[in-house]
Amino acid sequence: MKLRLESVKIANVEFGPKTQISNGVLYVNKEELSGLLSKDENFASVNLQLAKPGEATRIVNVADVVEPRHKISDGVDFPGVLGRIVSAGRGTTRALKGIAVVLCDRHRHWIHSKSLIDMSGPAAEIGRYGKMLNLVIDPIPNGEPGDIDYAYSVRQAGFKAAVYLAQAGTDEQVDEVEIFDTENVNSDLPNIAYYYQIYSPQHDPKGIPDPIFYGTPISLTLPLIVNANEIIDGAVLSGYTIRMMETYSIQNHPIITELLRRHGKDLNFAGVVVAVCSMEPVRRTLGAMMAANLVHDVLKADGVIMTKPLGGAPNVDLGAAASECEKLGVKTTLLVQILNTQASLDSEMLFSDKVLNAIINTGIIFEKQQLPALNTIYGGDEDTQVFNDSSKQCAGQSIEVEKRFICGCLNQLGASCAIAVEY
Amino acid sequence: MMSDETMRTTSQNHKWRIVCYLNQFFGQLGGEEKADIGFLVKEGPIGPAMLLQSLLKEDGEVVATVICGDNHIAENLQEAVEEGIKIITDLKPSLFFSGPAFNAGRYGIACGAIASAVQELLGIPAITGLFPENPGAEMCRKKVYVVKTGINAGQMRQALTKMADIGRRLLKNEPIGSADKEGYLPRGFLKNEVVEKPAAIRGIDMLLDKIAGRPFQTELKIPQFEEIPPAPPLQDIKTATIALVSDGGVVPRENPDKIKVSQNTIWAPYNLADIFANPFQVAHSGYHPTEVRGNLNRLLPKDVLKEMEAEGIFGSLFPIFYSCSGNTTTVQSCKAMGAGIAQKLLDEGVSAVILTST
Repeated sequence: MKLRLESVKIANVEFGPKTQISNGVLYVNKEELSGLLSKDENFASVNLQLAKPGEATRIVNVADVVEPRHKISDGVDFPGVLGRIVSAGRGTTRALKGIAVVLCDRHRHWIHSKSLIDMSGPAAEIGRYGKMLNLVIDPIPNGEPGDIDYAYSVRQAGFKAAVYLAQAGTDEQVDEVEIFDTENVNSDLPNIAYYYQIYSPQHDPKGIPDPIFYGTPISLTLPLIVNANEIIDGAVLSGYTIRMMETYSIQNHPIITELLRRHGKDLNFAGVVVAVCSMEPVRRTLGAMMAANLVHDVLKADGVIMTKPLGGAPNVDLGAAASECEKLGVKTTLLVQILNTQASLDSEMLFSDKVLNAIINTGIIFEKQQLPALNTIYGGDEDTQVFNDSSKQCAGQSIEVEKRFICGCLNQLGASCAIAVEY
Repeated sequence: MMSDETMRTTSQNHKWRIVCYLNQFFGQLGGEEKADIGFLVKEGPIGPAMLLQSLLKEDGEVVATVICGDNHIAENLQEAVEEGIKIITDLKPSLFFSGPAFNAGRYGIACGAIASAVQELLGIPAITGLFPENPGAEMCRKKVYVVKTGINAGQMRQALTKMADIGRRLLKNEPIGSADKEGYLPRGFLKNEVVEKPAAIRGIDMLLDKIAGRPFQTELKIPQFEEIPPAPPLQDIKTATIALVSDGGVVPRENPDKIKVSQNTIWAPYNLADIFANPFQVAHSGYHPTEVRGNLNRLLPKDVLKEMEAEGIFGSLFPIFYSCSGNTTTVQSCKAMGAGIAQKLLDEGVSAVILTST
């Protein structure tokens, strides 16, 4: 499977009479895009705003972030979500770089799962998206739509907008081309696999799983092999509880893209095992065993790097799968987040197999961060409650939030440079 | 009495008054044969304190060195520390150092205990220096800065240089970096920092090192959990009183005991019949409570236990259940909650528990 990813760099974004790119500036026809997105009956209207680095702007109710992408050949845009099911990961995809589509979800369901982006101040310093150009999609709910229905509508709007913007780049000159292909294997190099837990059903609202794989829920799926190109080309999307694994970071998956780029240089990228967390022990044991067999016997890997979604519970699956891999002689490294600040680097693991001796720490998610008041609020208004119900903090005030709440600050997939250190 | 010179410099420049604590050996009184000697105060710096004096000469003056024998302080630690604190208080220090004691056990415990007490009671920075495995280290590293030293006095200069540097910055309110960077023993908390390479690249590099057999440094360690022997089996289940304990976070409406949805440290007893008869809520943000809200028996299997009780399968169901929320709580806090609940159950004559989680 060969994917050609063509990038067009965007230096600035403005609203204008026609959606087009000119001299690196993306002009967006606000009425046209707003009209396209407003067709959803769950929306009364759709606000569009531009947020740029350095502005005194806070984007709240952030439900996901998407990179503008459009399929040029041999595929459809976001298969299973916007288009019919056609394999992602083949042909040519055009991406706009330096700009992100930020989706805001004003529905009151479970504010824990929504985060914020500041365009200046400390959150902009430590968060990825505060340093980028952002097109903010801020729908206003029509009446009182169901929470799951509404979350689905917001995601659809985001993917539509991402495609709409990237289509403007179709005829533009390409700044960078990358070919992702793992066909040629150098037998002198170690074979490296990636074990990717893409989902945990632990937070499924009302027991309904999010449709994150080709637009399909996969909460009871046993481990399977998925081509790396499919994952970064729109097959895997963020769930409704983004929790540091937003779609943008999947499209630019830091482990997959690094393994693809190093394929044939200092390693062979042997492939990806996609897994879903189990909520009970028998299934967990089965999942761990199957994942290890796939890594060892099908992908023939010498080593596997492993990541988890969401919070604490998936650690147990991660550890179980890693132990099974090590039993078969496959070396492991695991990316793990730390929850608490009152802790030490040898107190925080939720598994205890001493063989698991190569663990990357991706930062403390509950570390507090003070943020100043910012003048402009998108995705809500100055009275919008943020962070959680009990903190009683409003978007327009100076606030104190946990790091996990700052979108793009910490990342389960290893995109962040944050690390927890002992003090 | 202070010398005229000391009086002049302290009064003119408002230099810090530094007090150092040493044992009989480093205080130059003698070896083990002098270990029973009690507290005494020497004016100005003695032994290692001389080096501290020269390191801090711009900012402060070592006005006195307090010396005490290892046995005197070890034999009745609490009393001796109180005695020492009185002496040190009278010296009106603005900065305090003890040791470094390297791997000397009695001396290390004394350095840690005195430094902790000085910092707590006098409200001034106190710094010591210990080998990480010195028994004094675990006792005080969360209370005061403990500079990590070698096993013996061969590294006196390095240890004192770090101690002086940390002391100076504490008094000047300058930031102190991480334990690893600054060379002190971890004080029990973590902070996020930023490194050059993202986690993804660190992980791939570490994996390649591990496969190739090259050295690598894990960024998190597997915890050393203690082995807990299971309680002995019940002698007679027919007379057993069985209680329910759950970390699923079920609480009465309004959460009267303010059990936290995550990082919780609070547990509380609630009446089992009441929680089933009245509106309740779930204080736990680690799972979606739809199923529990739909039927509380899914978390607290009261109905089936009541049936079994009626059939005489076991003695009786304890009418109170203990509730907490187990979500991202540290092992230490979990242990404390567990110990509290277990003691209460014992006091109430409960013979067995069924623990339910989510």
